[in-house]
Amino acid sequence: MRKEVVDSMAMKRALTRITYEIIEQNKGIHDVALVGIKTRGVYIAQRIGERLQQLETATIPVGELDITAFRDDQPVNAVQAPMAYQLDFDVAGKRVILVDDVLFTGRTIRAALDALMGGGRPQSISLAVLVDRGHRELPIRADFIGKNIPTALQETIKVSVTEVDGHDGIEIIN
Amino acid sequence: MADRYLILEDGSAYLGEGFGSPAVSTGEIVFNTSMTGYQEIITNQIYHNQIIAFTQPTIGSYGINHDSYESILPTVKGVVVRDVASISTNRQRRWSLDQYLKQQNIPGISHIDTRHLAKQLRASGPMKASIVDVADAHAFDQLGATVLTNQQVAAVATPKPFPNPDTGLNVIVIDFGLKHGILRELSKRSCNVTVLPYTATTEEIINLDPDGVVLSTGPGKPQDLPDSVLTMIQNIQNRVPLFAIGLGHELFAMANGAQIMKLSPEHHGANHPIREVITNQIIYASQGQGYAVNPDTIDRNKLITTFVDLIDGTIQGLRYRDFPAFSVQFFPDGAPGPTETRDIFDEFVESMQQARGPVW
Amino acid sequence: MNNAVISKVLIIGAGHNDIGREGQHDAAVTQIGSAIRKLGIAVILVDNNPFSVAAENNFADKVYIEPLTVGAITKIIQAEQPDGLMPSLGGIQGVNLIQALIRNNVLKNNHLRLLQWDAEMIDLVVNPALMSNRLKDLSQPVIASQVVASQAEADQVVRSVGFPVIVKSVAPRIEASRQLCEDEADLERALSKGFKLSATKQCIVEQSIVGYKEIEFVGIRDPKGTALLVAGMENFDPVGIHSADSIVFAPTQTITDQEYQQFRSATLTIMRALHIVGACHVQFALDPTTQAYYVIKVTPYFDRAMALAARATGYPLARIVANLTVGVSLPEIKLPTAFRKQTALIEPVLDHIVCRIPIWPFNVLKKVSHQLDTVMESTGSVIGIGRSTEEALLKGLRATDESRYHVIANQPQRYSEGELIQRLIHPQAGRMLVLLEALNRGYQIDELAELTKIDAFYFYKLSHIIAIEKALREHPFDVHALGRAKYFGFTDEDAAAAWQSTPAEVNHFAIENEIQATFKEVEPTAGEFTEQTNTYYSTYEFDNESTQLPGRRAVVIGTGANRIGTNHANDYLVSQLLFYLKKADYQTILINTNPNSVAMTPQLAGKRYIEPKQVSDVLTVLAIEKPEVIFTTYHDYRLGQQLTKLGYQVVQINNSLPREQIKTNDSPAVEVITDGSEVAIFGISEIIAGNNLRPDVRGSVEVFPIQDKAENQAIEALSTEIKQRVLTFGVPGLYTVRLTIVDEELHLATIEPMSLATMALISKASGSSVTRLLLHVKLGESLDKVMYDYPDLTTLDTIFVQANTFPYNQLQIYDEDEVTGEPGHATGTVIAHGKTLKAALAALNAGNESTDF
Repeated sequence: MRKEVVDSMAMKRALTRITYEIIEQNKGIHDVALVGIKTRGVYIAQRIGERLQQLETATIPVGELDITAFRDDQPVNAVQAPMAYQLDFDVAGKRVILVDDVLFTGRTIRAALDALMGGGRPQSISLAVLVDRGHRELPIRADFIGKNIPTALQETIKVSVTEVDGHDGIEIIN
Repeated sequence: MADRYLILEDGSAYLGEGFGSPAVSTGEIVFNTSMTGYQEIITNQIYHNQIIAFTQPTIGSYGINHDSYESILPTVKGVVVRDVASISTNRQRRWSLDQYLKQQNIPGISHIDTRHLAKQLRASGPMKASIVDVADAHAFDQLGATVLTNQQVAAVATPKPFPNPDTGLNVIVIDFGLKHGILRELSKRSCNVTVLPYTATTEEIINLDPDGVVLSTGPGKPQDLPDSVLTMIQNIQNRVPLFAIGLGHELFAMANGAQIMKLSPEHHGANHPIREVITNQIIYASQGQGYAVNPDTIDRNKLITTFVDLIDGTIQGLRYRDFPAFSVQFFPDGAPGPTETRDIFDEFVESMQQARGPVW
Repeated sequence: MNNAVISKVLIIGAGHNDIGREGQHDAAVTQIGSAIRKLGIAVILVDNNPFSVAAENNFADKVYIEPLTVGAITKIIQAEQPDGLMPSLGGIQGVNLIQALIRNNVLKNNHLRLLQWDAEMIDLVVNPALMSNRLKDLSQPVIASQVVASQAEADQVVRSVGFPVIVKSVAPRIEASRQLCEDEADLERALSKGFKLSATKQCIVEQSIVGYKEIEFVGIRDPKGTALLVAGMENFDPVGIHSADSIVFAPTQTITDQEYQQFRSATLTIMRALHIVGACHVQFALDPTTQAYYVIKVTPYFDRAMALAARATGYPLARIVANLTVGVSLPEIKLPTAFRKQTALIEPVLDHIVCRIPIWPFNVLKKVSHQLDTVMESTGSVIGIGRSTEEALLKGLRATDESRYHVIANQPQRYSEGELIQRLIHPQAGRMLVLLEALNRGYQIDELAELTKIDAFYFYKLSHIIAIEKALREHPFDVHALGRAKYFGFTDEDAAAAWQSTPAEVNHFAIENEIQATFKEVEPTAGEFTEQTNTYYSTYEFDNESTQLPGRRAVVIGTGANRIGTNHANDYLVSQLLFYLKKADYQTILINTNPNSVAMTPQLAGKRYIEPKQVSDVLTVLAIEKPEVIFTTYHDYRLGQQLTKLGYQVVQINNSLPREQIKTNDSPAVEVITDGSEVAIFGISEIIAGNNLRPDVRGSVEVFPIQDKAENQAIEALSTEIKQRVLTFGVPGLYTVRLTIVDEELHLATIEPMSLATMALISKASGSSVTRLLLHVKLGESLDKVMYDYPDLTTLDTIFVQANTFPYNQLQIYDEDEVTGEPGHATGTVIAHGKTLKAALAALNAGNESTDF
């Protein structure tokens, strides 16, 4: 069973609110950089980046991170292990905001932190997610949350973005 | 129906036919280009002490409906139109516009060349005007001598708190001449609303433990309100999410150091393109404004411009940089007008939910 | 989308005119074609309508007069390699063609991109069931409809949608009608009959929305998703009468803001969800008692509602759509300086009321049922614009030219009471007289609203009209009565009839008492901004906005409504006249009320007056413009005479339709032009019997030029005689000299003004506008000065053929006496060409295999 819990308009508002909260908590966007976690986190990061640019008329670096090789719950693949993230900026000294679609156990984020830290020493790292669905297995929390959606463990949260899925929305699949 | 005159401060006179109340009445005349929603416009308290000229040629076509009031007691000073259909054909079959205006002691005048009037007002800006039986020197003298009150908010805002209970978030609405659409939208979102007079103090508000505060729409010039209102806004805005609309938006801007200017030509309609800055999307909204925030006076370290009217560049929305306090100049509830801005109420509700943290 | 990558656009035209397909598509093509060209993008147009204005006069870079078939268009695509295809200008048949092109991979193989729409849209437009499902996905209410095989299943449907329902048989063995069921008894009866008739023993049970209000909204959306409403319109007649056969008002008259916003929001939501770039027309049914609504139809291509929206608002719709199509967004559009900079982005608001009235073919086709239902019967429409509902309605009715004066003839009708009620419940064409009659007989407004499902508001307005007329009649030469009557749309002629006086006398009285018409501009901002649309309508108010154009002024009286009998041919003539008058340095002024007319294209006339053609209406315009010359066409001969009598310089153009149907083969004619002292021969034409085209053809086929040596020689021999005969006419113009064969020799038979069809045929065949030649000889220029671009016919090696199309099938006329194929019954014309007559006829038939020729 699939149930849409967030439609495209609500998703748009969530991104808008996250953007404003980033400005609120960082007192502006000086040194802020966005890093999206593949796949959908990248598009969400890009959209937040576009919004920040509209408001502040300044360019915000947006990078992407593929953490499949870094996850501790995946068998280590020696060939993939040294995979770097695609950033065309240096994270050193930056206030990095990691962006992902769903925050669940926290393992993805931990892997992302590992990957990021390998590339230099950011001034700070914070986390923005479109959905926090609970059930954390690690001491990780998001700083910017689009929507808290309480879920049962067996349920799946599906975030759709136009760029990949043809439309925007969040569904619970049971 | 009787011949009556619409006379203007600049000496011009229009012959027309009276309807509604036979009273002689004086107010500031403005023109509204909305094509629907005459009842909502007439009952909107932002038009307190004003005479509304409709460019829409026929009003009154479906009478008066129970669900289209924007206030209980309208306080406009007159209604000017080309053609009035004083009938009631709506499903409720309650009042015709003519009967309603008689009951509310508001005069109307039809058979006016409202297109010419609109062009005249576009050039001159708003003027004092009267609806009279005879357009003689005496009438013009009276018009010239009339001083319109600047205490509009005091005249229309509630003197006492009142509740609009529900089971959701606890919202305080500060009433400057509240448009019912605001309550309607909060109701739809199950907000438990308490409406407080505009004289409410910070303590009175905080004691009610609000999840958020709304500064309502209202009539007149924001500078005519007491400074205590600005102090209240300054004290509240960083404590709970704040959403300010219309006059409330102008006050929010003033509380944060911006200046307000007279707008000419004014905006009364629902068809201007407005850019939402953050998404670069264009939306349409119901507008009724005689004043605007002077863009040159905005402290950009404090406020972000969130909406801009693309016709004349007037600021249509602001947001505080450091906390969820935001405002719009237009009427996000529509009524009458486009409904695509109603989700700003959702934005407000989501800000309040976010401020409270997750519910599990 | 990015306009940088589009360099050549292909437009598929709408083909021949027809019921429901007037000039609106061609009008859109003329504007869109020229607007796209201004952006530096080439335009290729394919059409087979000889009266297409867009196909002449440089509205496209290249025009193909070819059959509208997959084969022909594929060849054009292969030859031209356009990179964008515009799907919205060819009507539904254009969309069908594009679907076939896509299925045949023609777009893919030629890297041709579909503009405006996703490919999915094509299927949705072609298949209403798919559209209905798509709308359901968008949470838009659509009419519930279900196939049932038992009473129990039907009961289940009724339980969810409620009575009334419509029951129809699935795959009926004989022609079966839709049964309206009000209760269980009706349903049982209809089902038992329906199951019996059905080959599959099934029925469709559909929720009935007959009697609901019909509302039509037109929106526009750009490639970035910005969308706005252009116009909201309301049908006077309820659902159940085809919206094209309904009287329509713009803006909406009787719906609340809540209802209006509901429709606005639904229109824009649908456009966004379907990613439509350009304009879209959405039709709704509104339950007047509950505010519930249904989406009836979504039309993303140009149609009559879009034409009306553009004419009613003054919003430059076609020009803006042209920009959107090639990737320019609404904020980026550059409009001519006459418009305010952001006009494309300002949602139009009106300070006037527009009333559209349908025009019927019944005066010509007498045996057609006058009953109004869901099948469209009107051949055209006119609009009236005023500052009150009454004024708009009266001006619209007057513009139909249905009677000498307007329909408020206050003649008691001779129906029995029973007949009147029947007519109220089962509306027929021209129902306005019936409604007025009922009011005159004292029927109550609520009662009438209940019987007719027309909103009571309109009955108040009609009662008001009756009251004004009564006051006028009872107060001869009373200033107040006349002032009031004129204020609400009455004319000098009306007052003259009421007062047993003459229009001239009334006019004199009115002017003496300062009751004077004023003109207001039709523009999209209700006076909030300065916009110059150069389009005006009259009313009786304080301020007049129209002043005389500077320079040499020519007024052209437009065609008015599209009537049966290829009236659009006359519209083509008017458009051409405007085009070439402008080239001849005239300031052109058009008087016209047809919203679908090509002549209304903004580039064609310097100024437009949307006014009826009653003499007093025309004189009001002339009083302001004081033109050097006035042009009238065939239908307005009497008007022309009256204006001449009043001292105006009038050029009457009397080219019309062929008088009668020529059914025999081998009827050659010589086509000529004269300036009054010289005669030039265009060439030889011939009318051949329709069965040369296909066995079931009722009309005939015209051929030009005939390249027959013997005939040419014979005509050469007759040329002196022809010239003499033509010159005895004396009047400069275009003539057809018919020949007969007596004893195997050609002889002169008759001479008549050249038909409009022949003018279009020769223009297309020769590439030289015959209308331009006509105009210049009419303006007194000599032939040797004007014939410079007419080619030497012996160099033309292509034969052009054309045939009229008829509405018999559409109107369900099967009576052999009525189905004559005479030119007066035509609703459209198709043109084709070939190297041989056989090839030309094959091309004429291609894609038209089931066309009613």
